[in-house]
Amino acid sequence: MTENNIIGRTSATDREPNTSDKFNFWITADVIVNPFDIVQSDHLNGSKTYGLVATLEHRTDAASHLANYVSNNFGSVAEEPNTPRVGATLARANVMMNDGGGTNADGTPKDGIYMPVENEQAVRFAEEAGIHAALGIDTMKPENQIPAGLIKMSNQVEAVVYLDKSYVIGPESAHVNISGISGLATKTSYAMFLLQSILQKAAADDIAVIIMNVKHGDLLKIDEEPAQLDEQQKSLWVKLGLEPRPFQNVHYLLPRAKNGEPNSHYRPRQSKIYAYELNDCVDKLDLLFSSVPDPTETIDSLVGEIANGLMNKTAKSQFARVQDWNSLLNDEPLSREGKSQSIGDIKASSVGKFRRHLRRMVQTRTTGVFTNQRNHNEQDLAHEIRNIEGGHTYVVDIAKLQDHEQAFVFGDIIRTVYEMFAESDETLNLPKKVLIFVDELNKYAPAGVKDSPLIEQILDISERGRSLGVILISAQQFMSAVHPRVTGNAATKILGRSTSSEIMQPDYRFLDQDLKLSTTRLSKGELLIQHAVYRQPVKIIFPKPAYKQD
Amino acid sequence: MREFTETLRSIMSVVAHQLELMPASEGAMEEMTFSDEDERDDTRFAQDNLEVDSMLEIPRPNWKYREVRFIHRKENHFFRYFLDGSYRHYFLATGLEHDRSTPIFLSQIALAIINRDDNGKIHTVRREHQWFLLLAKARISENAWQSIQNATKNTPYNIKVGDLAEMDAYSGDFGQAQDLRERGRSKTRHLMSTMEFEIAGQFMPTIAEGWMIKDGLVSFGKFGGGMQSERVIGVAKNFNSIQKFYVQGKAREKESVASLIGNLPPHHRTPAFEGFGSKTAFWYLRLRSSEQLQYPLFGVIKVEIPVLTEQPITTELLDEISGALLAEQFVTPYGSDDRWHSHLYPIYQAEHASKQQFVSTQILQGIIKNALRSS
Repeated sequence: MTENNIIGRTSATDREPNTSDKFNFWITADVIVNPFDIVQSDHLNGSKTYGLVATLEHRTDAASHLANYVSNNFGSVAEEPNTPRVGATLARANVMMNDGGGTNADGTPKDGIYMPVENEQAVRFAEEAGIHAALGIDTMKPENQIPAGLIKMSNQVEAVVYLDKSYVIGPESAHVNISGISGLATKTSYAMFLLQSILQKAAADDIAVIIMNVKHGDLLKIDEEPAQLDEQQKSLWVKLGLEPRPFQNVHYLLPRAKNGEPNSHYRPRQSKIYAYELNDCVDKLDLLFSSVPDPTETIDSLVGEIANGLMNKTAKSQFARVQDWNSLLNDEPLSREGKSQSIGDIKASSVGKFRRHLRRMVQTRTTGVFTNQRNHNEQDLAHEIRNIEGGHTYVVDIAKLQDHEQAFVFGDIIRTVYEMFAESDETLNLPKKVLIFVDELNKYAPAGVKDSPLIEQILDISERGRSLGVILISAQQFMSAVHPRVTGNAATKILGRSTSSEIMQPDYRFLDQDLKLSTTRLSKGELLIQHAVYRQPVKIIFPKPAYKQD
Repeated sequence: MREFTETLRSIMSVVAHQLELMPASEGAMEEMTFSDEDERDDTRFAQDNLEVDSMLEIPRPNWKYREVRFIHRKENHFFRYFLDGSYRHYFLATGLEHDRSTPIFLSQIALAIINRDDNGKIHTVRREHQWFLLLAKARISENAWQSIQNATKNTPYNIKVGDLAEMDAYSGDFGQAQDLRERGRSKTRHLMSTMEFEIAGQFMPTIAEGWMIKDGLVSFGKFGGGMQSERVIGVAKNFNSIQKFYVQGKAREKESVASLIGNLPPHHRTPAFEGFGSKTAFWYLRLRSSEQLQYPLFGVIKVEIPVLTEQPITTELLDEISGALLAEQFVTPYGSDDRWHSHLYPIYQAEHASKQQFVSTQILQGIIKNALRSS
C-alpha cells in the first residue's frame, strides 16, 4: 500500500470495460483484498465512487495452462523460474454509489455521477463513513438505526451496519428472512441478536415478541444470564452500541404432554402450559388439516359444516351431543354405531376419511397437546396470545410436538395475532408491533404448494402484516423450499453459508452472480445482509447471544 | 493527443508549404515489419566475415561444444537489466519539388529497460519514446530541408528529422539503387539501434552491479560502431545462416551454422568466435533440446558481447554468462510468441514495456489524416 493508502488503480480494457454498474481494478503487491470489501475509487469532479468487491482473479501473461507447463521445462516440478511470470490480481467491484464530490452552493449534496469510472483511477479501502454512505446508512435517521452487525474489512477497518427500523418493522416495508445451512449459518443466533437489537434501539414497550422454539431447549433460557460470555463477544456487543443482556419480561408457553406435565426439554421459571380442547379449535380446524391433500375440497367443506354446527350449537341441533374430541369422532352426527355418516351432501366415505385423519391427529398420534378437557393449569394458547403486551417476549415451545401439531400451533398464533390487529378497534390495548420469529418456515409455507389454510394465513402476514404491525422474522435452511411470496415480501434477507446448488436457485436472483459463490465459503458466524436500503449486500459478523445456552 | 495533433499539423503545414504533397492513397499506413529482421540484419553485417576461423576465448578452446551449468538468480543474480526497443513507422506521403520526390515517413521508436529485483519481480526503470520524420535530404532543396528542420524545433513533442538517403548499417548506401520507399523500415531500425546503444551507454555507468541483456545484436559488423558499454550482451533469436566456422584445431573442417548448432546438445555452448574487426565476440547456446521443438535449429540463441579491449574473454566468464542465460529460459512466452523457444522472458517483458509507450496506430492514423488535410 502506498503512503496515500492507494491499493490499486482502476482498469478498463476493450474487452472488460468499466460500466455504470461495475469497475475493475488491479491490486498492488502485498495488499490483501477479499470479496465484500468496500472500496472507493477517485472519479470525476473530485467525487468518489464506492464499490463492493464481488470477485477477484489472478491473471498472468501465460496464453494457456500449457504455456505454464512448458515454462516449467515441460512439466518439471523442480524448476523455479528465474523470472516469475508477470501476473496481477484483479478485482471486480459492483458500483454502490457516487458521492457527487461535495455540495452545491446552497449546501445540498451534489448529484452522484454514474458515468463509468475512468482508467487508472486510484482505489482505496473505504473508511467507516464511506461505507455508511455507500450503503445508504448515512441517510437513515439516527432514531431509526438498528445495529445489524459489524463489517470487518481486509484492512481491519470496522464499520457498524444498521438496518432502517421503518424497513424492518414497518411501515415502509417489513419482515426478515434468514437462510443457510443448519449449524453453520447461525440463523437462530442472528434472529435472537436482531430481536435484542430491535428491542434495545426501538421503543421496546411498544413491541411484543413471539418466539417459536422449535429445537431442543434452545430458546427456553433466553431470560437467564449466560454462563460465560467472553470479553471479545462483550466488546462486539458494545461496538454495536448494544448492551449484552438476556431478554427481559419473558413468558414461556409450553405444550401439554399426555401426562399433563409440560412436554418440553426444559421447564423455565415463568412458564405456562397450553393445550387444545375441541372448543378451542372450532374455528381453527382448517389449520389442523393444512397438510392433508384435499383436491376436491371435501374436507374443507366438512370442516366448514362442523365449525358451523359447533359454533351455532343448540339443544336440538345435530351437534348437540358433541362436547369434546372423543364425542366429535365417535358420536353423532359424524358416526353412529361406529360407522361414518353422511352430512349434508358429504358422503359417508369422506366423513370417514375426515374421522381417520382427525383421530390420528388428536388422539392416536398426538403428543398430548390435544386433550378432551383442559384442566385449570392448562391454558388456551390463543387466549394467552390475545393478552400479549408490549415490552414482553413470549416463547412458545413446539420442539417436541408432532409436525401437524407444530403447524397447528404456529397457524393458531399467526391467525390470532392477525385477527387481533386486523379487526382491532381503539378499545383494545394492543402493542404497536408484534414480532414473530419462527424457524423452519419451509414446514409451514413450503414452495410448490398452491395453497392451504396455513399458507394463506402466512401470506396474509407477509403481504399485509407490514401495515398492521405484524412482522415475521423467519428462517429456514433453503429459501427455495419456502413459498416465494413469503420470502419475496421480506425486505431484509440474511444469508449464511449455503450450498452451491441451493444458491443457484431463482430465489437468489437478488444476489450478483459473482457474489453467489462467496456464500458457499462463509464461515460460521458470517452472514450476508441484503436490506431494502442497502445498494449491495454486505458481509457482517455479530456477537453471540447474551443469554444462557447449553 | 490534441497537442500532438497540433504539433504534427504545424510541421506538416510547413512541409506542404515547401513541397507538393501526394498523401498515401488510403491514408497513412503502418509499414509492416518482418519477423526475421534479426536474421536479415545479421546476414548483412556478416557479409565480410563469412568464414570465421578466429576465437576470442582464452584458454583457446580445443573443444567444439561445452556443457554449461544453470546459474539461477538465487545463486548468482547475474543479469539484472534487460533492454529492448520497438518501432512503428508510417508512410505519410510523397513530397514533390520540381522533378524530385521523396517519400515521407513518420516513425515512433520506444525503448524500455527493466530491472529484475532479487525476488524476481520486474520493474521498468527507463523508458524512451522518440518521433522521427524521415525524408531524403538529397531529394529536396536545402531551403526546404532547413525549413522542415526548423519546424520540428521548439515543439512540445520531441520530433526529429531524419535523412532517408543517408547511408547506415541497416539501409546501406543510397547509391546502391535501393528505392527510397524501402528505406523507411531500415532507417527507423538503424535509429532504434543507435538509441539502444546510446541509452545503454548512459545507463550502465549509473548502476553498480549486474549485467544487461539487450535484445538483438550489439554491433554493426563491418559498418562499425555499436555497443560501447561494459557488462552488456546482446542476444539474437534469429541469426544468419551464411557463415562457416573452423573449430577444433588446424585439422578442422569448415562447418556451416546449421551443422554447428544443429548438433549443439542442450545446455551446451560453442566457443566464442571473433566478430568483425575483433570488436565483438559471439557464440551459440542451446537453451532447449531440439527433441521438444519443431525444428532442430530452434531453441538456440546467438550471444554477442562487445570486446572493448580487443582482448580474448575467459572461458570462466563465458560460462558464467551462458549459465545465467540458461536459467533465463524459465518462464517462456509459449503460446504468446512464436519465437518462444529462444526468447528470454525478461526481454519479452521489456518488449511489452517499450510497446506500451506507442501511440496506437488507429489514433495516429486519425491524427495524421487531420494533419494532412489541414496542411
